[in-house]
Amino acid sequence: MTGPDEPVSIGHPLSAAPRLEVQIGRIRMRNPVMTASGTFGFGEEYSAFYPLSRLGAICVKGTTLGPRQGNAPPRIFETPAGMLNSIGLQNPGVEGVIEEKLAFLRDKDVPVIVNIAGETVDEYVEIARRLDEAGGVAGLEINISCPNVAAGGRCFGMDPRLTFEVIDAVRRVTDLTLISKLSPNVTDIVEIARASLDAGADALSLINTVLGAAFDIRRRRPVLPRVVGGLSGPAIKPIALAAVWQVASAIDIPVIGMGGIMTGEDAVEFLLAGASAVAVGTANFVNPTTAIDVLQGIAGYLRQNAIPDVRELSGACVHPTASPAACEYDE
Amino acid sequence: MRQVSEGPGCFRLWIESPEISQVAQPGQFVNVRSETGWTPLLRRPFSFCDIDPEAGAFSLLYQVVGPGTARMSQLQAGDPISIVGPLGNGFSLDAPTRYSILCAGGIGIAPFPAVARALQGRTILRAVIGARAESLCLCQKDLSDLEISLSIATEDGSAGVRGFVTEPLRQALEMNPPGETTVFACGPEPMLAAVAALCREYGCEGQLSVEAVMGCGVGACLSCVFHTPDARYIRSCVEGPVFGTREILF
Repeated sequence: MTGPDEPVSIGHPLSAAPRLEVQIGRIRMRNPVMTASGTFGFGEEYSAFYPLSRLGAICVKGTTLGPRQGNAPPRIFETPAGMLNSIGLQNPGVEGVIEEKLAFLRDKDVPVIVNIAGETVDEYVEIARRLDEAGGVAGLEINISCPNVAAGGRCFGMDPRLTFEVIDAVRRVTDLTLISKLSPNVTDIVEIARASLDAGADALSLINTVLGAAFDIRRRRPVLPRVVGGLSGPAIKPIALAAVWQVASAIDIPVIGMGGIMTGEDAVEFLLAGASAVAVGTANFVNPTTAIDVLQGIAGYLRQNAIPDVRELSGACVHPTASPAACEYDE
Repeated sequence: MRQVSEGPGCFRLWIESPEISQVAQPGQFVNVRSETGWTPLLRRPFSFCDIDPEAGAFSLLYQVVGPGTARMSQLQAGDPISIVGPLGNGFSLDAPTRYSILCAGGIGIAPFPAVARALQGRTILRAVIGARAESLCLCQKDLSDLEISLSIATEDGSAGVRGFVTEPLRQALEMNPPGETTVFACGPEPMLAAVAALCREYGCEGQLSVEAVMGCGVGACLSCVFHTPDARYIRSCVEGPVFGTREILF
């Protein structure tokens, strides 16, 4: 489709394949497309649809110190262009993850990022220590933003001082790449982002789900047993883009953008807003191969717009003069 | 692709797909999306109604309950539709007991034409169907074509006995020796709970096809879980949608 809103294309479409490699902390990713925690299990299910090695990285299900059963069903509810979830961090616990899940991922030739959630600073530290010792893990995504359980760490992510405390404590026990996953439900996300950076986080995941609720007017009761859940899907994309842009404009730290990415075009928006990489979440449910479609969409955009390296696209709208791929539009 | 009207708001959608129809098993499902926009967002699971590997086609029986199924009912030959499947574990039909009872509640009749054809000639089959009204007792012709004896219960009494399907099921169980009978059931959760209780009472085997709200349909999202007797949650999309009566709690 063409129209007055088409970005200016600079030069001729590329003949060579664009360079897609990006680096997040110490993780070298063959492309900027990851999967978002909680939407990809531990990779087993989706490995039936494509080789996991095609992805830049995978971020697996939130892992707690002990096994967790999860919340009582119903656990999801569809809303306009989105869904609410209240899964409740069902997972086999860190030892179960190491024995059952990481063993499966070991030979899949893809960087594995484990999302970790604790109730106390000590729990985060203990989970991080065990995963570090286990090997086969490239990075830890520190979940300080799960809305669905008391143990989801949301209390940490609401407060810059507690954010600093938990990330600082984990930083002291591991050299693994640390990614702080932030909630959009804060007054000033930049403040939480800065606390994460100051405590030694290598990157940020922006954003976790948005707090949401739905009510059944026929039965006159909440749809989800815990009333509130996490809203995801295309409905939250503008919220996520704003958060990425705000943080990327203020702080120098790699951002993994996520929230409602369904297509390559969506992912390009996140890159323009300042993300260095993107994660596909709810869209995995809608179409099991979305992450690959998004990757191909990014590559196609780079080719069509003669951008040889995806890193030139990142942040093009954050520092408008810094890149030849800056956002210029036809008047 | 073609649609056949089966009752008020009920349709059978035939889809050509040699790949799927050759490997599909009765009780398995496909995850369907026919939207072009993002509302509704998620796929909807439908179990196989007919599986015809020779024709390279299968059918889905569904009732219009929301915008997704309403849109599905408008589909015509040539319209795009996205299907992931076959998914899940179907009914165990390899070694049937001497007697088999198919027990359906409402649109829960959907998997039974395929089940009946797979079991035909290998077990003594009867079917019990429950629905709100006679017009919603679907697939009667599929079963009568296979000469399967059929009992009906309707909530409004417009056909068969007035009441729930558990009434004719109990009568059928009274006639069959428990150690040699299997109940295959599909329907709403309260019905399945009652069927499981009857299977326990009569000491017969039961295989239940459950319906749950699914997110991904492939096991990743952990939405469609049921509680197990040992206090775990299991996924209906991967470990199910067919469970033994002792595998899950209601």
